[in-house]
Amino acid sequence: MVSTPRRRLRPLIAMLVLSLLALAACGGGDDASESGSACAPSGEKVTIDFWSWVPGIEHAVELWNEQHPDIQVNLSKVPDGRAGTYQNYNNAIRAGRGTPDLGMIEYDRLPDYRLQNALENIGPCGAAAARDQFVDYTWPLVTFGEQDAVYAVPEDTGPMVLYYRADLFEQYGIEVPRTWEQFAQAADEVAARGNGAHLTNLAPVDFGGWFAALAWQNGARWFDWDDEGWTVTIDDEPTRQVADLWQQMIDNGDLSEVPTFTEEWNRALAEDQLLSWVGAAWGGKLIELGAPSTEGKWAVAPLPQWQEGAQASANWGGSTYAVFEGSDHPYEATQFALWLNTHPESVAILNEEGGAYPAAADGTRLPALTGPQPFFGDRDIYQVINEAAGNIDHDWVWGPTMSTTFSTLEDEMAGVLDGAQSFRDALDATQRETVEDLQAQSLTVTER
Amino acid sequence: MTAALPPAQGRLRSLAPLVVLTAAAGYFLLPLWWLFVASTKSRGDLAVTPGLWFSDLALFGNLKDLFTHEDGVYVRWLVNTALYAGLGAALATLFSAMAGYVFAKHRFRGREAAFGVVLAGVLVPPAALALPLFLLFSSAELTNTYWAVLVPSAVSPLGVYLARVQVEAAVPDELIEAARMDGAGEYRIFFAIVLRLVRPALVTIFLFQSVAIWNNFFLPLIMLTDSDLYPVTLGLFSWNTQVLGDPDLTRLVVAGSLVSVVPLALAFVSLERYWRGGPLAGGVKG
Repeated sequence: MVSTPRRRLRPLIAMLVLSLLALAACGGGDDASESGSACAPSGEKVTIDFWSWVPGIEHAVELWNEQHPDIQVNLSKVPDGRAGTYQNYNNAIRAGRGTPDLGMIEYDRLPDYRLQNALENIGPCGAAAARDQFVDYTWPLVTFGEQDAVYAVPEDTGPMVLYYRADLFEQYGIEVPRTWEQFAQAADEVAARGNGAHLTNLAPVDFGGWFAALAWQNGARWFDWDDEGWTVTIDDEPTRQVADLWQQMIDNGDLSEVPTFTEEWNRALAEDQLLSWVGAAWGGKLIELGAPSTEGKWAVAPLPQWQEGAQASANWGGSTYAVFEGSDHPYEATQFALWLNTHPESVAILNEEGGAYPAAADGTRLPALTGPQPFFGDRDIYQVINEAAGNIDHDWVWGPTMSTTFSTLEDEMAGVLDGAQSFRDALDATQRETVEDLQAQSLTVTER
Repeated sequence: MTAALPPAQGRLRSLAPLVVLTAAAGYFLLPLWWLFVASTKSRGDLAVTPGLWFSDLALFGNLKDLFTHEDGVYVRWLVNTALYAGLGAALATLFSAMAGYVFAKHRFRGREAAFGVVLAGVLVPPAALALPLFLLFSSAELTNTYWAVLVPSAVSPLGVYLARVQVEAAVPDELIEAARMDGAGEYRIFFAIVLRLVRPALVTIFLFQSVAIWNNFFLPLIMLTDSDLYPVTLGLFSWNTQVLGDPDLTRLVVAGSLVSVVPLALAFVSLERYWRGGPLAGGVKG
């Protein structure tokens, strides 16, 4: 480059400095964020900014706004968290402004925001007193076991069950598997027919949360923390046991590789190519809308067990609403979040239009979730699901790096399905990457 | 010379490009065909019937649902897109022309250095600027407003470059001097003379920029959270990420994608001659 005489650049530099100063001046506004020791109503008319990606939630918000003229909720329908909204939260936290008063966060992402100090403790705002209104196992996930603290209001959950085709099970002469061993055996039997049908499918897409839940069912505990720091055990014994079972089915060629929730999956369901799905409570509707031609043929059973006669289930998915640090109206935001997720009318809207299986203890009494379900051959599937919800281990802890953990696991799984490496290799890699990510965030990781 | 060749070989020669081009056209049009077919199907048929042919016609039901879902927010997204891509590109064209004129016809200190900075801007991918822009707009409290997308869209380094080249080629210095002699001010010269002489290049800049804005998905994704401000791309994306909650949205995403293609396709077809001239606009004096 031709060197430019310095004096020519001077006006340019001056301009740059001036514009930066101007911006800084604009930015220096309110840094008086009051610490929320006592959470009191503001006593005036307030507006709450609220971000969510639940379909149909606008109808619940309208209902609230009609009934509460003094607490108006301004809803932003944002893309799914992992598709951009989590990044937008992070950007806003980094910019120091722009987070909503109340925002949707999945359970597995809460610790991440807690560790960024981005969440308001809404225990004093009425959330702590509402504990009994929610399904038991959700509570440790929103309090992190901290005394008198609540960091989010649970919206929905995903107790896991086995969805299966009653007609095809009969046709293939398969008993509903009570143990995972029987499940693997059934997978082998179906594949042995050689007609292209499989007991179920396994693909690296949307795999992380699903696999974590299966490990959870077997008593695994991927994360733990105390004053010393974090412990990471993604490759613990129960998790390996789950991995080995699926490895065996992969090696035997017993599984379809159709990715779940895709049009391909819908088609495989509709064309009798998939006999079952290890899925969550919110999944029944996906089958119903994805493969409407299979009406009347589906049934639901408890998850297969690791010990004959046990009744363990696990949770896959589900979301919460958290009040972000710096909100001017934590009390009102909490009141709205509690109403949204416990009021029967609101819970019914979120269930019907958004497919949310409620975290509210009373939610299971919704008319839509009781009695015979026409799509499921008039079987009372939610009774099975309710029982599963009561059999979920309370000790599961999500780590602050689930984004890295899940994406690593899913990347590695592609290699497992290709036969390039073993499932255990994938677990080792995920363990390693997760520990590195924690350390990169300056978090202490203690040795086991 | 074709005339000298035996007839069979001549036919083959003219046939080969035809085959290649037909294959290429098929390759590019197939997804569009799929989109069209898919948007005529009901939710159930979408998954189970062959993707490239029709089943029961549900197009009108899909369109009706598309335009009424969430109080017709889709229409708003279309209007927003027209605003971002239309007004944004118009502003970018005007600014590019002004800057191009100044770079071409005015002598000032640091001209080439400043122009070098503009050219360097062509090389920076828009996505790389999104986060810094977000932080800037955030400190100005302008995130989640129309300005957050419009202001960055009104800047086009490539447009400045094209405008400069075009002004140098199409506007004779003598003409400007003559105008000055006659007492015309700078604004008059620019709007009455320069703009008219470089009009074909302006259309090209406008089209390039409006497509660039249309394609810049990342900027609105991180700037906007109020779905009333979304462009159609972000709106459809947002719906598509919610299909686990409401699988029926798939139908609307497909129909919405089809409808969103229509204005762009119309723009391409009706302005085709400008496109053809586009990349060469500065190369040959018209």
